Amino acid sequence: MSLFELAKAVEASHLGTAMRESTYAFAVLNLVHLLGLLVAAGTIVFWDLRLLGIGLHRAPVSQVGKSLLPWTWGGFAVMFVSGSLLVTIEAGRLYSNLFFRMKVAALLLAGLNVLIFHLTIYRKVDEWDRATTTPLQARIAGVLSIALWFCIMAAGRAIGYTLDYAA
Amino acid sequence: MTGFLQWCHDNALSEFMRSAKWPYPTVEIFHIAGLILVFGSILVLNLRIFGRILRQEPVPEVAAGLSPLTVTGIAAQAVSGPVLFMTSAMKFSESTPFKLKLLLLLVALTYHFGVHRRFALDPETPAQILRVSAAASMLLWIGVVLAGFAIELLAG
Repeated sequence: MSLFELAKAVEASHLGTAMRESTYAFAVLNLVHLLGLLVAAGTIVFWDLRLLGIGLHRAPVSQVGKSLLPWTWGGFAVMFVSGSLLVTIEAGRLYSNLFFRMKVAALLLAGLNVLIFHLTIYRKVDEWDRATTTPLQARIAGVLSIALWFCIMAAGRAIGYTLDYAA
Repeated sequence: MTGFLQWCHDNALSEFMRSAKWPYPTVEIFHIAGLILVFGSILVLNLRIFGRILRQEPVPEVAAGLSPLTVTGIAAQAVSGPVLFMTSAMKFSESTPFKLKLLLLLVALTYHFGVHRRFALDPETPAQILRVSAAASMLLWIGVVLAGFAIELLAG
């Protein structure tokens, strides 16, 4: 079974059909997805900005991370569940949508950015915990995170304008 | 009023916004980016006031650090919002959720800069008053977001 056939099958499934036929499911899921975004992006951006020495620059980097990231993950979990349910509604059409593909790619890159950051420069955070001007690698990670989250949000918004509803 | 709405709808910028498919979503994306900064910075400030994050950092310092970012987000929204409005000035001016959003936004902004930020920046503010103020601030901004979401929903 190809990925496209899988997407078609998801769309045709009981869950996909039930969601599509419900009057409120799409609007409610969209709203929950937006609220998840506001918590996830609204917290991670201040962690990224701290890496750039902006905003919460007086607080130690590790403290900002420890206290904000659980909220980011909570918001992300809400986005992941609501987003997955939204996908079941029109998986077949999303499969070929350029912006959906860009969004998935940006999400994977954002994950990779977090992984690299935590495995490398963040291991030595004790050395720069209180610095306003953080090491270059940490600043690059912060800029990449903000740029990738912007792409995730922008691509997500674009999906709604580019899905071919005639199909 | 009709003359003003007509001007909003007819000016060159609005014509450009309607001239192709992509200008409206593009401006909308910047409106959402601004929202993330405004809502996020106020959420983070209020989480600190509720003692859920950064307990070692004094509230006034957190408030002072976040304030320029709240203002940056508001600036992004104050530019993008009216551009979006003008594109379909007639439709928005008749929308109940839009009127509700404008009203809530006015209250939320006045409350934030007139009351909440002052309380948060002042080390002398009693903790309980600060918490009540944070709860009111959170409710107001959630209201603004919900009303904003309803604009598009009810416009179909």
